[in-house]
Amino acid sequence: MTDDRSNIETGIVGLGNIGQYHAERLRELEVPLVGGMDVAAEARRRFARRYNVDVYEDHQELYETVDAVVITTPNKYHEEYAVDAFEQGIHVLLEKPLAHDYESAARIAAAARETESVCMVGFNNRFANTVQILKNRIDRGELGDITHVEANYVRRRGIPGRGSWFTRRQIAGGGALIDLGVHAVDLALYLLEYPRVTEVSGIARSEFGSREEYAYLEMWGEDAGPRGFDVDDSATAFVRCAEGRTVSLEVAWATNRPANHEFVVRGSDAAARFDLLEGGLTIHSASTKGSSHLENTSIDVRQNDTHTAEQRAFFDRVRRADEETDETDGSDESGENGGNGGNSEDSGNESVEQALLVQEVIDGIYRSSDADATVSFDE
Amino acid sequence: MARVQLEHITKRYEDVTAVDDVSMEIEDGEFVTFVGPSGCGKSTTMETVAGLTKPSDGKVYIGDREVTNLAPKDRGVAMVFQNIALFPHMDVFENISFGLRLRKYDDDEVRRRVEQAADIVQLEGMLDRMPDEMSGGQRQRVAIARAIVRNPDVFLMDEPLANLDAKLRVHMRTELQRLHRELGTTIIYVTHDQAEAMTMSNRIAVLNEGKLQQLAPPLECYNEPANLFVAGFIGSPSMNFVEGEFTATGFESDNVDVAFEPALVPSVERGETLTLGVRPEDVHLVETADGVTEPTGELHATADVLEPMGDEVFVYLLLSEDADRSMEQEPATAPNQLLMSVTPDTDIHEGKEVAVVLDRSKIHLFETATGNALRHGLTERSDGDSGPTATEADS
Repeated sequence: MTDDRSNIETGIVGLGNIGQYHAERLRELEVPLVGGMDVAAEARRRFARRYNVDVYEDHQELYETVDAVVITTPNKYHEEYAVDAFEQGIHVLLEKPLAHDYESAARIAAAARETESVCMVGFNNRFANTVQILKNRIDRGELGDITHVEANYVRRRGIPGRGSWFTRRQIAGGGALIDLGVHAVDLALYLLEYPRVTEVSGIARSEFGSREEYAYLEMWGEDAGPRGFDVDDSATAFVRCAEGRTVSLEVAWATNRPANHEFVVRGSDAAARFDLLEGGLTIHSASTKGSSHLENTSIDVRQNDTHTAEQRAFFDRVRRADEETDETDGSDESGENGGNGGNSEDSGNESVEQALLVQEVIDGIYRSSDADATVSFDE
Repeated sequence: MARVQLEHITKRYEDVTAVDDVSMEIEDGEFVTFVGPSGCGKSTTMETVAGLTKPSDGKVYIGDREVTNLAPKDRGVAMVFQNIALFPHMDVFENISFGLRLRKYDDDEVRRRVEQAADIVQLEGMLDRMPDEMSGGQRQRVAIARAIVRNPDVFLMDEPLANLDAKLRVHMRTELQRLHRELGTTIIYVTHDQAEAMTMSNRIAVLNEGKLQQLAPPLECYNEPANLFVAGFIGSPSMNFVEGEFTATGFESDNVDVAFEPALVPSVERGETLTLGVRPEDVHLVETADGVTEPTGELHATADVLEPMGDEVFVYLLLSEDADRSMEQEPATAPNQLLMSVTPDTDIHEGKEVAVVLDRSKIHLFETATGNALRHGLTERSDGDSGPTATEADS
């Protein structure tokens, strides 16, 4: 087995900022970028010029030329592009969130269960070195039983492109909570080993985006002012999981407090604190050995490019899946009842199932906010 | 087509046992409904068959093959859920054929199967419609057609009619029965609606708190419930229950005494607490009890509240006038209440004093401590099949 990814011909669906961001990293990993698709002519022209590849207005044309795609379109269109890719056996790296609403997310997950394609959801923060080191320590039991995660994903002024799809409910499905909240919820549940969620309570606010005099220093995309801004720009929530484990959540595109990307993971034997922007990891513990004392262990971590690490993990899985398919090729031509071997023990697309739970939590917080009440998750 | 076997299935979550040692055998071509209150484990049990949930213990077989660890797509099952999950960007043909195209069938075969399935669910001529141009019932037919084209060994349906309006639900019930007759495929159906369970199934599996209570044909669950839970759950309104003592002359309680030969329940000691159960339709006014061949002695009561339902009238009887009225309590548990159903032309009004009898052949006795059924029918000449059912689970 080699690290050779040079035969996985890959396309990008959605050629905006994030699409280009992914395209840059494909080069680093020596994955062949063979084309792109966008409904906007200007985005196609720019992408073709920059990467010198074929671009298409119709995704089906792109799908005739690729083995894998990275889907970075607005949330509402994830379903169409992902499901059509599954149908053609194309592997999918799907930008978070899974979809713009829970129903669409559930349909993507149902399709992913049936497909032979690899599908991974873009929870890039999991791949931060800090998070991987902490996860390893949790798995080894160093923190004891994890009881609570404080998850913060707070910008002081960071609404992405007012007037863009990010700030339109119909396309994005929500604002700060669905855009940033998915990262925070995923990281918290990931560190809790994806427990069963029993109820959520929360509120989603819209305080800044619709102001004429919105003050900011920089913006991802252009500012078209407050017109059409109909989503939340901050949210606070409490998530209750099985066995009394809990998550408290603070998410904001804009709020009157300093930015904060701090996560505190509290366990029975120790706690861990890290900040996604600052890097670094601190373990807080206590002991009576010698004399009672409190201990704060600082761990220096090399910051890494989480999107590159995420892509590497995705293409490694694609390569393994293709190798398995080669081995089992011809063993079952009929396809009757879907009995093609391969990923039978574990379909491997567990990040999709996890993304579906994240979407359910996000949806639950929006429902809780609308109803001004706690939302229970049934059996 | 295939039989389905569950062998000691248990599913534990961190702090909850959702399914607790459930074993059952579903025969090839059978329509079995899992029914029970919310949280009883019926959906989780079905998910272990579907492959959406891996059991903590136990094994699942479909046909002769153990499938406990197989992915859903490799089990030969097709699922239909409550939420009608059609892809909004695909027309009906594309939605129905999605699974086939994933499996790379050739175009002619795909078209042939889709048209056949569309025919079965009566969607001819609608194959180029988009989901948002269709009614809820039509969309659910598309979802069923999508399951049919896969030619599965087993259909798994989890509350597939729950989101439809009441009239359509009744219509789809008959459609599903017709579908089962035409295809002859094994169907496992999950519902909390006992009317669906009673009308469609060959057998129903009643679950409560993760445990299988009874697996039997619908009328057997109704006429010979294995225990108090099944007796109370199946049938609407619920069976009346009266707690009392087993004595030398039969059953005695504050308000209801029923004499019978103690040898009818040989396993019970004198003095033990029993629960007597009788359905509302087996309580009769003395003047209209001509058809009851073996009535009990008369009970005197007052008609407290009448609920006219159209085709029948529910009469809440108070057995003793001096007792407190306990309207807050369920009639099934209030010791001095008895629910009776009568025909609408019956001469009765609120406040009327009446004498009633119970049909001895329809009286059930349960051991109160365990809830297990001891006896169905208190007629002296036993016809041999009135004991507890053999399919009863340990409970």
